[in-house]
Amino acid sequence: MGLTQILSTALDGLNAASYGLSSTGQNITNVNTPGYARRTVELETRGQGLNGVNVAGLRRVTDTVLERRQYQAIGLSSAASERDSQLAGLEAMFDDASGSGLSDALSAFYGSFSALASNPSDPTARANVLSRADALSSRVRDSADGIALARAELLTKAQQTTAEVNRRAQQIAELNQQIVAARAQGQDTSNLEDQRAKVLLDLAPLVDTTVLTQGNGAIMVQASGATLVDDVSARTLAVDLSTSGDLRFTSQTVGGAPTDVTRYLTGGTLAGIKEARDVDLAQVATQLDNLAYGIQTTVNAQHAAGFGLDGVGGRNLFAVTATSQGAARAMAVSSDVAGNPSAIAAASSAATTPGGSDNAVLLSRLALQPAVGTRSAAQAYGDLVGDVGARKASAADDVTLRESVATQMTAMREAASGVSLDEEMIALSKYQRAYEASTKVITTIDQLLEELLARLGR
Amino acid sequence: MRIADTTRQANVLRTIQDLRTRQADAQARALTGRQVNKPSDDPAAAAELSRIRASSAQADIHLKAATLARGDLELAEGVLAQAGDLFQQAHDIAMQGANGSLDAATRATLASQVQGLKEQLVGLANTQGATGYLFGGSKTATQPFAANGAFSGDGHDHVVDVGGASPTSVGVSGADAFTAAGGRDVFADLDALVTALNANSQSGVQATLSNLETSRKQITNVRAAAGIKMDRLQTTEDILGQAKLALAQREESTAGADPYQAYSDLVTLGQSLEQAVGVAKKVLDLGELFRI
Repeated sequence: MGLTQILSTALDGLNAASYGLSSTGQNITNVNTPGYARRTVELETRGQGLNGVNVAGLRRVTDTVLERRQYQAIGLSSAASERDSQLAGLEAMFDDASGSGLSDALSAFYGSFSALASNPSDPTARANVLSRADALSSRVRDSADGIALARAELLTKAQQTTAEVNRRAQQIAELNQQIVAARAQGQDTSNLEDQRAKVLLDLAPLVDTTVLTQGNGAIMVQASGATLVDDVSARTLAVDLSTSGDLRFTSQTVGGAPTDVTRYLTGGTLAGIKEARDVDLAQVATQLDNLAYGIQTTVNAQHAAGFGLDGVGGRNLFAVTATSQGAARAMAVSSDVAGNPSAIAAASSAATTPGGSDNAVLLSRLALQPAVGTRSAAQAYGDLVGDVGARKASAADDVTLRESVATQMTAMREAASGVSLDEEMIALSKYQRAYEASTKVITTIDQLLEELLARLGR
Repeated sequence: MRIADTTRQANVLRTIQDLRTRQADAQARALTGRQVNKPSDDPAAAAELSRIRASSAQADIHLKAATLARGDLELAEGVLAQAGDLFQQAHDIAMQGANGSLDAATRATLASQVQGLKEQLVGLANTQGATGYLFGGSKTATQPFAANGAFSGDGHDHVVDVGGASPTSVGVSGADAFTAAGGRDVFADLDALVTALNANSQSGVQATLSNLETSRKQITNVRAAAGIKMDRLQTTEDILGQAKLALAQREESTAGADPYQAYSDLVTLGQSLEQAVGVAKKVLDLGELFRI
């Protein structure tokens, strides 16, 4: 091997070290870039014999299995977080410790009949019954309206999230297109793949995301059991309300018929929204309706059996709905008695007015009698509070568990693809020394050549 | 396993966030003295607390009703005691009037005294309490006894809800105490005495003695019944007071936090947080490596 050939080999070394330094710099620069997968320099010996080093290329270090698991774990974690966050709002509506529940209003309402029984001819005691009935109705209505508003907001959020899913799907389809084109021209697609990974990381928290690699460098993305992105084309996910008022998700190709994919939705914010809106909030709203209906019907029946100061009986205290459905949102004092405290039926007969208290006592004692099934109003309300608490606690447990899994999956993916500055610092030092060594080789060969030329010149 | 820098940062962040959350919970426990500050802290306890609160509010309401009713009962009992005294005085006057040595003028004077007693009795029978006229039955808003003793009330018994198995009677029947419904029309008995005295009839006056005594006993019996109701209400109030205490203890055992434990948790978590922040600084410090 001639000296000039050694120089050429040393130049290879310089190139390889430079390439390594560039790659290390790129890794360090992108240490915090979402979707970025670390690059390693692929070096190989050149040809046969002592021919130097060849930079075969850069490798984007990824593990598709870990990525797939991470997207799935992020989706499940996001679904749990969304549900937990919605249930926190629901819990706040029934938090008696902070004074926002119905407990005090319920006790004050039934208690007002006891005060009325103590002094049936007292106009203040009568007015107090009306005012407590109105306060309870208003409190129940506020809670029911709060739930209805939360459900309406969740529909809007589902629509916004779906639009976001579609936007991300479109981005992935476009990136697929660019990657396929670049690959066909033999170009490096690492940066495009980073961008696509970043979009996938943005998509995974929104909907359950499954990624399948296609041969041409494109990926197929499935969401909610339906194909969202296939090669370079994206389908559209849409949300509307079913006939029962629940969220309905459909997947649609351009010009194609929509397919109902609701039952396949298992992860992401959309799944959390669906679970919170159509299961938790809907069930608690039904419980509240049953409670309101139970209170109204039992109180009305007893109130109608009594007589007001004017000797008239048969009046309802509440304007009750025909069935329990919507009873909470419609709860109000009946027009039979509104604004007319004398109409409150404290006496059990017209002859015993104004001092008769028998009916007021019976109304007061309804507090302990069954209002919802076999449960009294206070017991049924306690059950509702317990149920809301149990839902929130279970959601919080789910968040802890699923976040932990997502964190673990992210750590595992990052262990394969993430940048370690420790490692990069070592690599920096390694390539710096290699560069210095190659320079030394060149210097040495240069000295030898100089000496050789000097001897030849004598 | 390789640890990427993002993982290292995320771990530090998660540890600190976790400690902050636990610190906030410990703060809530220490500040409120309660273990259950929202339903999800312990759903079963929250449901139980809601029921305990309802029972406690119910006990308060019953206590108020019992106190109010007892107030009127005490007043009625006092009035009936005075009414009994009036009849004792009337009886004494009748005894005096039955003395054969008395002349017509003296008996007329005695008659006017009895008339005064009757007027006082009408006044007593029309006494108003916190809930209206005490002796009018259900007619609490109108004066039940006219000046001549005619009764316009009824025998309706006032009942209240103080939490017993059935409604509690707290009424004192004016009909039973003062009218023929109770056996004797007490005003008529006084009228009979006045008539006999004015007629200067020794035998007539003597004849009223037994009825006057019966009337006094009638009033005393109703007074005794009022006393029994008062005692019953007092017992109810005592029971309700104990029930409230028991409910407060149940609430404490269901939701109460040990203040020392809460404070200790708060201090421990504060220290842990300080340590975690210190560790975080070291974990995130790459200075050593850069100095290689």
